[in-house]
Amino acid sequence: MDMQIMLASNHGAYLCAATARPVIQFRLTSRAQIQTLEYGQPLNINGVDFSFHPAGHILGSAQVRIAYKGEIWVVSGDYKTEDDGFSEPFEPVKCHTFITESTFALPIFDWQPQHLIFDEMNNWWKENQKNGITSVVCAYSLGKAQRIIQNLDHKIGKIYCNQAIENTNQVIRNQGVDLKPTIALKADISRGELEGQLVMITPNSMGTAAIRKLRPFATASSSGWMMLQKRNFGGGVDKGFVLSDHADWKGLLWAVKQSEAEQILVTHGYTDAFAKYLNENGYNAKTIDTHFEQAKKKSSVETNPE
Amino acid sequence: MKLFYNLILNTKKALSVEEKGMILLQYLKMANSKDKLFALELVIGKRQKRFVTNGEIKEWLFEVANLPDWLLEKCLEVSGDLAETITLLANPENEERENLSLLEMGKLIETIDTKDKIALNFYFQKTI
Repeated sequence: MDMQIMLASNHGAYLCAATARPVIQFRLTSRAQIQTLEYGQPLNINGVDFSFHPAGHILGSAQVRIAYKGEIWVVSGDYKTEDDGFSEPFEPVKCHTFITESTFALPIFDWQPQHLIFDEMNNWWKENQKNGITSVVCAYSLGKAQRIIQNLDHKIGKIYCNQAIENTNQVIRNQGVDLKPTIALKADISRGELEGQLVMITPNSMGTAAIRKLRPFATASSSGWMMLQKRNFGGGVDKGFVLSDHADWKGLLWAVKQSEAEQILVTHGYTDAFAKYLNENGYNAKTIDTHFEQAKKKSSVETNPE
Repeated sequence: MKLFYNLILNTKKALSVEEKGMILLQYLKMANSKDKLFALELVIGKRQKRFVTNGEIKEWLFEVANLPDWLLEKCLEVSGDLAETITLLANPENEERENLSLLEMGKLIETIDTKDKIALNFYFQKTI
């Protein structure tokens, strides 16, 4: 989500981790200058060292380490601590100040290991197949979609992706990443061909005529917010899988501890609660607004970013 | 309890009376014989008189959860539901609780008086 906002604002020049480049290039509407670094490779700008370190959020996502005269700061960006089998796994970086996101910074957010979630998703797919219906999974085209494609059991059947997801898949395959096979969901594919298979679509195509055509089908969505019943049943899907690309409460606490930072700055999420809890547990923590949150406050639009 | 939990969950999701019937039949085939009567009583809507208030359960939660009160209040606010908050805070890998039969759970509840925390302590003993 953040990347989409960032790209929409369309700055002139980008610096990113090497594996993030193709997707950024693909999503940009105008020609922009993109410079890349390998993870851990420093770049000196005006005497300040910058380097990227895996954030485990999506392919190519990075924490940014900034070092100047022995003082080190790390900006986490969006991250998750569990290895998802597709993104470069999160690597803790020691620093003096750690700026952490806090999307799911409450103890009620406690993810199960992803193999249990994918067992559940595979079983759901098999059950639908047995009943002769198509499984429709709603996921963001970048990140969640590829994580699901990579972890589902392809022996069950074929995975079809709508155009937005398949375009991103193609970009990722073209950069040499071994993403498991998927088929583009073309308009001329017959209902019969899709029976018992799994179709991945983006949230904006949910409920459109093209998808309604696939009946009979069962729909599912996957997000950390599925942990809460009110979100689970409010989304108009049959099944909710609790699968997030953000760290849960324990993951956030682990990352903070691993940073060994003297100062924790909390942003983007349940900032007040997380900073307060950290302060009560021996850390020196403060909240900090991101550029996005300031803009959000101005427009007073309430969203739940993930 | 897991069987009963699935019975409730699946009947809630079922779209027709026939489907509900099938789910109930499936449960009766698999459930412990001592649990069956209990389960039937609950699914047809016969309930014991309420003997614990929401306020008391919340009070117990605050006593046994190893978290500050303000953080629990925040969790309740975000979840919007006391029972759900307790479920989310409880350790999912507590096998002792998972294997508890409906009958045992019923007996456990009968032993509670309003100042007794056995049930909740049991629920929280391995959490967080």
